[in-house]
Amino acid sequence: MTMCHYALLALLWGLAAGCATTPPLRDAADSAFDELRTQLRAEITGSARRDQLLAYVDALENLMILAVEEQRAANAELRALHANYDTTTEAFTAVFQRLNEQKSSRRQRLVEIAAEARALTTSEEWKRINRFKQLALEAALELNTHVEALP
Amino acid sequence: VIWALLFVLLSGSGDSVLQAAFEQAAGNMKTLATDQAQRKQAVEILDAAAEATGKFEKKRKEVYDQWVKLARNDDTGDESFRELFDALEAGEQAFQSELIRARQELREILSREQWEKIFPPASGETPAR
Repeated sequence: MTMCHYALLALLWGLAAGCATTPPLRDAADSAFDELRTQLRAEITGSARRDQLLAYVDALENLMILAVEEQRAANAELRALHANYDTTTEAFTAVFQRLNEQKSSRRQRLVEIAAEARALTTSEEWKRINRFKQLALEAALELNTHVEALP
Repeated sequence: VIWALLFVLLSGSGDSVLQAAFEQAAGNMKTLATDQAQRKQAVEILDAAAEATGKFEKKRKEVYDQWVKLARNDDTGDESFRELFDALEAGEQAFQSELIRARQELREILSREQWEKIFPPASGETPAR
C-alpha cells in the first residue's frame, strides 16, 4: 500500500464513521489535493494558466469540504427525525429533497470545473495530467472493495 | 485518488442513516417485539428494505465503475458525466422513497414504546419534534 492508499482509507474511514474526527479527515484530503497541485505545477507552463488551474483545485477542495459538512448535518437531522415516533414521511422527504438538491448542484459544479480546466490545457497537457489520474484510479479501484467493507 | 474521493463525497445520499437504523432494528426485533405475528410483519419489512439496499448498492457500484472508465478516457465529454449523474440521482431518489416507505410501514405496526426501545436516540441527540 502506498501513502495515497492510507490517506484515502483514513478519509473514507472518517466519512463512514460519521466524520467525528475532522483533523485526520482534512489532513487526508489536503494530502490528496496537494498531490494534484504538485502535478499541475510540474506540468503546466505559463503562470496565468497554472494559477487558474490551481484555483480550480481550491474550488474542488472547497466543494469536498462543503459536501462533508452538508452530509454530516443531514445525517444528524435524519437520525433525530427517525428517532421521533411522530415524524411524518413528508418531513423525511423534505430533508432528502434538500440533500439531493445540494448534491446535484455540487455534481454540476464538478463537471463545470473539469470542463473549464480542460479548456485551459492543451491536449498533450491534459493527457499527461490524466496519466497521473489513471494511476490514482487504479489505486481507487482496488480500494473500492475496502470502501464496501467499511462499517 | 482525487476523483475517487470526489465520487465518494458527491455520492452520499443520507440513506446510510436509515439503513443503519434498520440493521439495528433487525437485531432488536426478536427481543422487543414479542407478538409473533407482529414480529413476522416487521421482519418482512426489514428484509424487503435490506433487499432494496443490496440492489441499490449494486447499482451505485456499477455507476462508480462507469465513472472510473469515463475519467480514464481523455476524450470523455461533459455530457457523459451528466448522464451518469442523472442515472445515479434517479436511483437514489427511488431508493430513498423505499426506505421512507419501509419506515412508515414499521411505524404502523409498532407501538410508541416499542419504537423508542428499538430505535433509541444516539447519545447526545434528541429526537426531532
